[in-house]
Order: sequence, then C-alpha cells, then structure tokens
Amino acid sequence: MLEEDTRILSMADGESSREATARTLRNAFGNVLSFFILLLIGILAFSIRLFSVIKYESVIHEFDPYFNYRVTQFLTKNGIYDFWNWFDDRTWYPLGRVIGGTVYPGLTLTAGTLWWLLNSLNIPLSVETVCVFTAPVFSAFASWATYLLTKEVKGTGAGLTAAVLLAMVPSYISRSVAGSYDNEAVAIFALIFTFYLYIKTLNTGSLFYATLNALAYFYMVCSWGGYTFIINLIPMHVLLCIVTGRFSSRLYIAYAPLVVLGTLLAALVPVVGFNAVMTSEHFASFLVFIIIHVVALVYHVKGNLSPRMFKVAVTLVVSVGMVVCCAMIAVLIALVASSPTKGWSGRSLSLLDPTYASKYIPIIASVSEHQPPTWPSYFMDINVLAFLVPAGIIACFLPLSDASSFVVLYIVTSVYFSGVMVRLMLVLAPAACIMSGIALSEAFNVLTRSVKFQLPGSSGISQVLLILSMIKSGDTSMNTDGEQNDIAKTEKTDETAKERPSKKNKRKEKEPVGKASIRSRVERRLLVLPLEASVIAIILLVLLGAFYVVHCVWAAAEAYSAPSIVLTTYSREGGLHVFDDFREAYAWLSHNTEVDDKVASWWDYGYQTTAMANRTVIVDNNTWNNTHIATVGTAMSSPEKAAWEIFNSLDVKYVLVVFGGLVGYPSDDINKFLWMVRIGGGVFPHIKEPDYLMLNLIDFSFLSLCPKRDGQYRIDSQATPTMLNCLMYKLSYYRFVETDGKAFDRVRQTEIGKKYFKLTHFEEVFTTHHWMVRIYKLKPPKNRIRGKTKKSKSKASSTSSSKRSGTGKRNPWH
Amino acid sequence: MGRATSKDPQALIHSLRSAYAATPFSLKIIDLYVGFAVFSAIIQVVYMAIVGSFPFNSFLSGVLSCIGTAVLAVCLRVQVNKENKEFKDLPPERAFSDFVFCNLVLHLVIMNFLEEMVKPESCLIMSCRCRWSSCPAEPMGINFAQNITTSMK
Repeated sequence: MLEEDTRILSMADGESSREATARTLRNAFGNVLSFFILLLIGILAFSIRLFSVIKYESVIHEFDPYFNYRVTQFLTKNGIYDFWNWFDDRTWYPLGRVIGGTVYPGLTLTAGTLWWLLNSLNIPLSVETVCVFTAPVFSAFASWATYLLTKEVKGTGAGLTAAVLLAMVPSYISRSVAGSYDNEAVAIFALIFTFYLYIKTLNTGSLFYATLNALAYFYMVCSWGGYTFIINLIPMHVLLCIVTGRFSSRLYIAYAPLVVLGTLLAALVPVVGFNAVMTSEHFASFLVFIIIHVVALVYHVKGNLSPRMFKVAVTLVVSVGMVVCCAMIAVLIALVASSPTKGWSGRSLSLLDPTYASKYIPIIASVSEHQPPTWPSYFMDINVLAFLVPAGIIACFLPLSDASSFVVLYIVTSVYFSGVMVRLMLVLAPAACIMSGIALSEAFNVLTRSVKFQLPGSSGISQVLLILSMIKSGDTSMNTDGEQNDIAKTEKTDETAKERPSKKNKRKEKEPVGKASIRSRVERRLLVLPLEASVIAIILLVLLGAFYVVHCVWAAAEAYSAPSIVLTTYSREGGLHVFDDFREAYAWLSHNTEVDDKVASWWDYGYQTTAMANRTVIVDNNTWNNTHIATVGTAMSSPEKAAWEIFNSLDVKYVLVVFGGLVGYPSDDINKFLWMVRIGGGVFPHIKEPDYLMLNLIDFSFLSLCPKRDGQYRIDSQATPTMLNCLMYKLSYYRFVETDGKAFDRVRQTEIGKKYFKLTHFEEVFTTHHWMVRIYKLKPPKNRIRGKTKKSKSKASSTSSSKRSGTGKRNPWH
Repeated sequence: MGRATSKDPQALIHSLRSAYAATPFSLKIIDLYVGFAVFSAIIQVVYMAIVGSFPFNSFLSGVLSCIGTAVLAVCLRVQVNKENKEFKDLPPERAFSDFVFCNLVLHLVIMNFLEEMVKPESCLIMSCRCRWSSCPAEPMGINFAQNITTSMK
C-alpha cells in the first residue's frame, strides 16, 4: 500500500528522489528528537520522585520497604546462596520464617545487583542509598517501556505521549517515590515490558522476542505476585483473537512458547514453585494452550484440504473430539475440586468476589490498600486520564489490530480489578496512560493537520498532494510492521470477501471492519476541521495537559512524598514541625534492650522493629500465620493479667504500642483495635466483638447510619468495661491524664473514659517525645507470692480451658 | 453426508496424504521431530500415571521439555514454511538461530529445575504453599533412593 502511494506521488510530482531524501532526513531528525524526548522523560520520571528526599530526607518509607531493605542488606552482606537458605529467627518468634523461600526476590536481587555493580565501578554508595533510588530509576525504565509498548500499538507520537503521562501519573508515583522501596516499583516496569515484548512478538512473529518475553515474564514473577494478571490477561487476549477470527501463526509463536517457558521459569522462583502448575490462577493459560493447538491444527488442515474434504474432516473430528474434550474437562474439574479452596488462593478469590475477603479473611480485609477504592481516589490517582481513556478506546478501534485489541482488553480488565482493590489502581495506571496517550496524540494529529491545511498559501493541486502525503505520512507514523499487515489484510478481505469461503458470521464480522476502515480512510481524507475550532481545541487540550501536570506535581510534592516514618505538620505561623517519634522509639529499643529480647506489637510495626531496632518480633507484616496474629490480637484485647500470661508464654519482654491521641495521629493502635478484636476473635472465640462495642440507645440515630455489627469503638465514658480494661486501652492511655489534666484524645475528639489507673503487670519504660510510641516492659512475677500466682494461674487456666472446650478451639498458650 | 460416510474417510485420508506428500523434505524432518517429542511426552505422562509423580519437578521438567521442544519446532516449521506468507521477510537462517537460542534458554531452565527441591523447612512452615502432602503415595522401590537423597539435603 505504501508503495502504491509513493508511486502515485512520484507520478504526480516527478521529484520522488528529492522527496525520498527529504523524508529520510526528516525520519532521522525525528528519531534523534524522540531519543532526546525520551531522555527528558526519563529525567522527569526520576526527578519528580525526589520530592520526598528533598522535603524530608533520604530514608526508606513505610513498612514493607523496611523489610525489603533488611533483606537487601542481608543479600549484599552474605551473598546469594545464603540468601536463598536464609532462615530468619528475628520474626514470628518462636516459629521463624524462611525468607529465601517465601519472598518475591526480584526487587532485592535488582537492588543488590545495582549495588554490586556500582561498588565494582568504585562508586561507593551505601545499600540504603541504592534502595532509596531504585524506585525512581525503575519508573524511568517503566516510562520507556510504555513508549515501546504504545509505539507498537499506535506509533511513535502516541508512544511519546503515553510515556510522558506515565512518567508522572500520581497512582504510580504513590508507590515509587524515592524511598518507597517496594515490589511494585520494579514490578510495574516488568509488567509493561512483558506486555511490550508480547505485542512485539505478536507483530513480528519472531521467536527471539518470544524468548525475551518469557524472560521478562520471569522477572515479573520474581518481583510481584501480580504476575497472575499477566498469565491471565494474555490467554484472554489469545482467546479473543481466536474467537474473532484473528488467529495467525504469529499469535501461536507469541503464546505457545511463552506458556511453556514461562511456566518453567515461574516454577523456578521458590515462592511460586509448583503453584505454577497447581493453582487455578494458572489453569486458564493451560486451557488456552490446548485450545490454540487445536485451532492451529484446524487452520493447518484447512489450508491443505479442499472445502468439501474439510467439511468431512470436521464432522469426523467433532464426533471424536467431543469425547476427548469431555474427558479433558472432567480431568480438569477433578484437579480443581481436589485442591483446597477449589485451587484459588484467598487473594485471587477476593478479586473475583469482592466481598470474599471481608467475609472470610479479616486479615486481608484489614489492610487498607485491599479495600475497594472510592470515586475521588480515581480522580486523585489518574486525574484527567479518566476522561481521556474512552477517547483512547475509540481510537484503538480505528482500525482494530491485534495490538490495539490487547490494549483495550488490558484497560477493561484493569478497570475491573482496580474497582476491587485500591492497590490494583497501580495496574490500571499504565493502561490509562497508554489509552490517554493514544487519544491525545490522535487528537493532536487531526487538529494540527487541519490547522496546517488551512494556513494561507496552499491551494489547488498542491493541497491535494499535501493531503496525499499527509495520508501517507500518517500511515507511516501509524503503521508498524505488524499493523501494516493488518490494514493490508482488511483491505484484501474487502475486495475478496465474496470469494473466500468462510462462515457467515465470520464474514459478517469482517465486512464491517473493512467498511469501517474505508470509512475511516475517507474521513481521514476529508477530516479538516475549521481553523478556529481546531486552534481552540488545541489550546484546550494543552490546558488539560497543563492541569494534569500541575496536579501530578502537587500529588508528588504534597500527597505522596511523606515517608510515614517521619511526620511533619505546619504550625499556624507557618513553621515546620517534625515528628520523629518512630525512629526515636526504635533507637531506644536498639540501645536499651538486650539483643535477644522479644518485642510484641501489632503486626504493622513488625518489619520496622526488626529492621530498625534489630529486635525479635512476634508478628510482622508478612501475615502468613493468622493464628499467631490472632494471639497477639487476643493479648491486646484481653485484660492485663491474661495478656501478661499470653505475652509471657511467648517470651515477650517489651510491648510497643502506637498512640496518636496526644498529637492527633489518626492511624494509631486504638483505631486499628477493631481489627485486633476481630482477628483475635476469629481464632479464639472468648474474645467477642460485641463486648467492645457501644450499643447505647441515646445515640441511636447515629448508630443506625452505620451497620450494627461495626458499631462504635468508644473510649470515652460510655465505653464498655471490657474496653476500658483491655490491655490496648491501658497501655495507650496510661498516665495520659498527666499531659493536660483532662485526658482529651485528639484523634477521637473526646475525653477518655477511665483516666486514673495503675498498671499491675506492665511498667512503662519509654515514651517518645510526642507520645506516639510507648514501650512497656513486662514485670517479672513477684518472688513473694510466686507460689500463689502459680496456683491461681493453674486454676485459672484449668477453668478457662474447661470453659473453652465447649467452644471447640483451644488457646495454645496455656 | 450420511450416505457417503464409508467412503468419505478414505477420500479424506487420501487427500490428506496427497497434500502432505507435497510438503518439502526439510519440513517433513521437522514434523518427525515434533512427533517424536510429543510421543516422548506422552510416554512420560503414562509413566507418571502408573508409577506416581513423586519427584514432581523431574516429571514436570521432563514433560515440559518435550512439549517445549515440540512447540519450538512447530514455531520453526511455521517460520521456514515457504507457503506461509506472513514470514516472507524472515530468512530461514534467522529463524533457525532464533530456534536455537530459544532452545538453549529452555534447556538451561530445565537443567536448573531438575535438581531443585522444595526445602524441607519451608515445607514444614509454609504448609499452605507446600503441595507435597497432596502428592500420591509412591511405591517404595523406584523413588526410595530419591527420597533418601532429598531428606539428606
């Protein structure tokens, strides 16, 4: 088709050679320009994430990154083999945890390699610095990968636009600011790059790219549990292609080697292991693997036989094939049914059924990033892209190629998943960027073209020529190797649709495509908007982009840069006030306690305690053992003596609570207390949630607003006695009345219920400057009455066990 | 259709054979290779069904290496097939080098995977992740030696 156009041009022009040299010059110039633009995009992606370092300091953020940091430290100190065999005795006391077998190693291996590389180049950076800057570096890579992917789908212009958008999309910034050293930082790059290589393989049909695709998939499996998204999305796309009659041998080359190699590679990662063939998340890919072979065989046979013979073959094969299919399906169903939870892990089930987690697994539901998002969070996280996405989807349908259908499928599925979990907004963000990039670049394409045509000085034949050349250049910019084939194919089907023997419905599908392509080409030829309208539209689009940039910079600077380990507020005079209580507390722990002391806290603070204080913790953020967490939750919601016994049986020396009542820090332990009770009560039934809820009749109007089961956790004078006597209340509010005389809790906005009390089994050893972290020590059992306590303890335990035997579950700590 | 059922299969086989006779010799070699790989995969599956899948990684790597070999050979066949218009620009040398590269990666992975065993301690602790418990009981004779080597590791 291109050649045809050039021929027409040359006939009309007669100066094709000069034209050609001009074009190559323009192409070369365009390549250099896009290279520099990409470089700038990389710098932008890197530097917009440095706000956290500039405004705060170069620290690791939040919770999970501390664990990753600790693992990286271990890796760089002890080497890769010790890393695989690392049994960590500092967490989950007394069970411990096999880090090497239960962690996604991609991030730590990447950072460790980077550190090793830099050090071998005599650039002496600390491990922490490398960890802090891993995420920004990889977000630059991710924007380049977005460029490649979108370029494969819709050409260079769309690619560059999408890359710019991705470089500063707030959703991705929230997980990849400097210091946010989490799996997602590298996983998003791996995700996009895997998709790029898949599309590239699909467009070129090269086995080389298929191999690279499998390796990129391996990197993704290494780095994030979200790899199941890939291994389900790609089969879905393959199925879509087959169903819509777009099967080609390129599709086979893109998919079949990926499944075999990808499964093997995924099974190499210890944390996945045999799950790669054993769990239902992966079954879809195997099913499609079988289907694509059947389809390939059918196409092959069809190509070799006459239509009549093919019909005979179909009737033969269908009768035999039904039996085989039934057998296969029976085997599959038996496999699925034989595995527990029908082969699906809890997290995946909660993806399919959004209410699953809150019903059955409180520990998944308790994590705030597993909640469904609210509408404002969409606007906050992807901003104007939300409005551009529909336009991008439409642009993808003109004309629909394999690649653009993949992108459409990607956005549709990711919109669904982001609706289930806030955290998966991160998967949506690249898709939204790609779509918006396509939409924006198509819009600019149309608008600038119509401006260019209507500029004075071009008329008559030259204008026609210009239009022709525009069509041609538009085509060259839009077509990549694979898509060219597709357009050519649709045209061919248009011409020869009647001749080709195909099923009726298939023709029905193909004809509109052909017509649409013709119509779109006609439109493209005629699509010249009025000058004023297009100028105004360009200005509006630029304004929209400017709004997006402003929002992104604001989000990066203000909303997502806080490390959450160092907090700041602005006082009324404009002065900056820093709350550095967490590090104060952890430093106190590491300086004033024995190396082998065990520290109990709610699981949120487990990673930080092991990483910063280097003390053994009972539970941490890797919530693999529900019972253990429930034990800590039970202790926190028990009265002092029972809690002391539980903690003592766990060898705990210190208890750490986070308390925000003095400075108004909302995510403290009292606000998380609901989950401690719920998780604890889920395993040990003697903890009953209603005991902690206030169901007073005076507040009936308010209560009816919220579901009755959630009720209200009150800590003021109307709180239940169970609440006022539980350990968490006491440890949080001990001596609180001494601060202002009224004991006014600034988070809950009330005065607390019980102001003056003494601790009998715990003693306060350290409280940080702003009272945000309070550390208590378990009192040793008193010598004088030791025999007595022992007796009473045994009595108590016997009574409690007899009581509990009725409920079925026993507390193992007695 | 129903009238000619006895004749049609013969005609079908005949036309299939005549169509296949026209394929070049090199493609026939590839077909033989694919057939052999699929055959050995089937043998392994049958063996697994009879004896048990105890060293599951070796079963997996064996079967997947056969399937992978077959798939890659099919890809090569598709690419070097002269009749296939989609790969006109691709020289057969390039196709073959891609094939070799992909095979190298595949068999490196398989060699790596053959020896990998689930660590005993992770088996103990990550009971939800470990699937050894669901493995069928295997007869003593064949897998006993492997059992011992595993436990010694």
